[in-house]
Amino acid sequence: MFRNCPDPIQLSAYLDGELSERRWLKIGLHLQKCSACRDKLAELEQVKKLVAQLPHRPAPEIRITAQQSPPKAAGKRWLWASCLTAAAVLLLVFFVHLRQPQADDVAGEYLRIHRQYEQQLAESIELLEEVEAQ
Amino acid sequence: MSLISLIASQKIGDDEVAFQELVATYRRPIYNLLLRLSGSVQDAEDLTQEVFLKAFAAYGRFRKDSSCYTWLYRIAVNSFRDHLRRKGDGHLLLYEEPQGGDCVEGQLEQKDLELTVASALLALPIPQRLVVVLHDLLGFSYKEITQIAGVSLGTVKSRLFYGREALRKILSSRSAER
Ligand SMILES: [Zn+2]
Repeated sequence: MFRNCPDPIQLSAYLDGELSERRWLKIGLHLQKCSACRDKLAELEQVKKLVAQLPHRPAPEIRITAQQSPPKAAGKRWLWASCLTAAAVLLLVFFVHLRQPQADDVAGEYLRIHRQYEQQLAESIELLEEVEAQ
Repeated sequence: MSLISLIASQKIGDDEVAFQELVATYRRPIYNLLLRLSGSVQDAEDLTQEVFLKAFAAYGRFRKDSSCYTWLYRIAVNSFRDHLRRKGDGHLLLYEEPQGGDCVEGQLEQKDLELTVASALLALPIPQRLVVVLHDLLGFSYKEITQIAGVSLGTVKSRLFYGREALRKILSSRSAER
């Protein structure tokens, strides 16, 4: 390889046609006059072909029924958990509202609980998404 | 995400037919991805089953962007990662020969080549192995691989190059051994 040879990573991308047109042209011109890069390219191409030639084996049968879906069931549990949490917090807010006559206190308490509720809900949703994403 | 859309996403019901089509289309590439990643027929079969169960559970959420099938491959990659974690050491994988029926004489050389390439793949670090299999075996573009593997375009590019270089070295040292 010479001083003005492209990075071999670029040669690999050239092989895959994954370069901008400008870069692709530039490397193409370089390849015409550099046998070292042509050899490198040929090596990469050979490896690529060997992997591409691996046979695609037939897949097993997939058995899916609605009952057979544990992640979904887990997801539903989390959904229920978040619904129950939401309901419990709403009840609590209502209870606090009844108990506290001073308007300022009620507003402050309401805000605090509301934020807590939002955080809990966000956590539940995160967990649900994790379960689904797995 | 609102609570209502969360609830809506749990409804699958009538989509089973459409889901079966998805299974028919992607079962084979997903299985082959997992086979070449894990090197084990049994693990690949179990993982393929697991991927479609998870996909079924998450289907309501993804079906709207049906053009974006990459989510299915993302599930496969995550399942493989979890599988490695469950197994403990992911670096001690040996290639297990698939039971592909009787071997006709002319196919022997082909089979030998498959064994050599498949086991060389297993000697690659997993991030490189993943990118090489996704690109060179399954034909995904660099951009699609960024979505499936959750890495940048530059990372895909360099992992592919280093993966191919490593494979070349492994293969040439093995052919020199003979
Ligand atoms: Zn050069």
